Amino acid sequence: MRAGYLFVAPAVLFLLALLVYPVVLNVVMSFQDVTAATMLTGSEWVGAENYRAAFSDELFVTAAWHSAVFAGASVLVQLALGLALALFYAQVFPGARVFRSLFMVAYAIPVVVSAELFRWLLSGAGWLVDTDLVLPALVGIQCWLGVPFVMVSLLAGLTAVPRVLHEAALIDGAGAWQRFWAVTWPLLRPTLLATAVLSAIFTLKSFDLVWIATQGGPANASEILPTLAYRLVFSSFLFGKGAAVLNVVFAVLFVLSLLYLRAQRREVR
Amino acid sequence: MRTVVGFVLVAVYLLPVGVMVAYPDGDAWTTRILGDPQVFRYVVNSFVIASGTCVLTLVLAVPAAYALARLPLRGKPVLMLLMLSSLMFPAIMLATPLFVVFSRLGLTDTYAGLILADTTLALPYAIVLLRPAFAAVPREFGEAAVIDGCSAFGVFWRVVLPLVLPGVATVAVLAFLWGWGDLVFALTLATDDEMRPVTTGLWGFFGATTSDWGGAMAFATVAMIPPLGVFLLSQRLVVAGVAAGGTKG
Repeated sequence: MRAGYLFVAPAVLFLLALLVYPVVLNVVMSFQDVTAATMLTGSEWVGAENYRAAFSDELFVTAAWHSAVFAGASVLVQLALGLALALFYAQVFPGARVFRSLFMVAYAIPVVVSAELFRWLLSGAGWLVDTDLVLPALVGIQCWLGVPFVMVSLLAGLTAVPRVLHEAALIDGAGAWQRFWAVTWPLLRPTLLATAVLSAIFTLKSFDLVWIATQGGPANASEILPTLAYRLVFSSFLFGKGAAVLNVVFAVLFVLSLLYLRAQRREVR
Repeated sequence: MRTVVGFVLVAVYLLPVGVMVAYPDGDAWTTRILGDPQVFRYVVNSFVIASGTCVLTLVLAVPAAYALARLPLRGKPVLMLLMLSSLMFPAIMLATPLFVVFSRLGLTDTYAGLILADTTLALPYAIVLLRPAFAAVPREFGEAAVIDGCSAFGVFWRVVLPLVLPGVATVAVLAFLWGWGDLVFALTLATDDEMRPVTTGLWGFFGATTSDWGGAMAFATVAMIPPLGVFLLSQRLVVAGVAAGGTKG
């Protein structure tokens, strides 16, 4: 009986100290006037002042909009491409397995390396320094990063669709298109939904790609909430305001993760 | 025919990586990368941080996942909710408070600080992935061992653990990849050039305005080879792990 607690204790204590406490501290700091000078000693309470400052900052609104567009567009394109690739590679043909797993190579490459790579590839075209093209270009790179995950998740969902159903539809004379909409689609929908929510979460919280590729520039044209928060904290030393911005991101992620958990539960049923 | 299409699709997808590896000329490699001791330093730092993250994550996650899967425990749903919701934390959100706390404790610019920080996000992920693996081992295995006089720890160590080694290996690889690829904590907790891993090293080396793309791509290749090697060696395991529901932040 006692053994169970001994086994989980180290991990739980670790997470309480280094995950839960920092998150709580983040909330506390968002209500305080924390600067580089007061960071180590203790800071004054300022109520919701940081949030008021953040919300009335035009840059916050811009960054929130960019985050929404960046995540929304990336998820849609990733799902479309990932679904097409998953349907293709779910077929049985020589090499299918090997090719499928080769996509995952991109997964092992640090995001910093991929971002630097695309910064170079796009440097000639100048897309990353063009205020109109920078966001679409980043969506493209994000899709390159995210497609393997979507493909692999959907492949797992596709292999769970019983073969018999396809064969039955085939016998009934259904064409490939009909079989997709009548058999594959309804059975794949829960997986698709869960993958979409997870991708949205990962894109909304991602910082590495945008920071390395553009640092939110040019002229804030690709500023997203994580890069804005980073700049507030580590360049302007406005710890409280930065924490407020991050808590807004966190609130959105929290709602999304509730959606994900619900989708998961429904899938199990 | 399908094989050809399948091959072309992968080839097109991976083309940028191939171009990156092929681009740097001999000079970029010899003088700017291999001839620069600082690059070697970054690689060593990354190895220490990634291996440390891997070991610490395993030490904490394996027993916890075992207990959550197989032992009687109060508050399991709360703990699992904590693990699952931790998957949603942006690293950048932890970076600010950890910077404040680690500054107080003198843990900035240390390996320990970076390993602790990287483990905070690798650990919940590891537990979520490992728990089903432990749960899949039939209960009778442990019960038989107890009848034979095995202690609670003995059941864990000698009976169940050997059966879930593939799952443990997957988590080890993912934790290593995570520790190696981390940018946010490296950026915020290691400002001393001596402590920088390859991720911020690459960034600091070439910066936002580089025109030395040969050097940058050679460095990027160096930063990619170790995680890619680890990945390819364990590839089957990792694909299964990712399919089980995770990706990197």
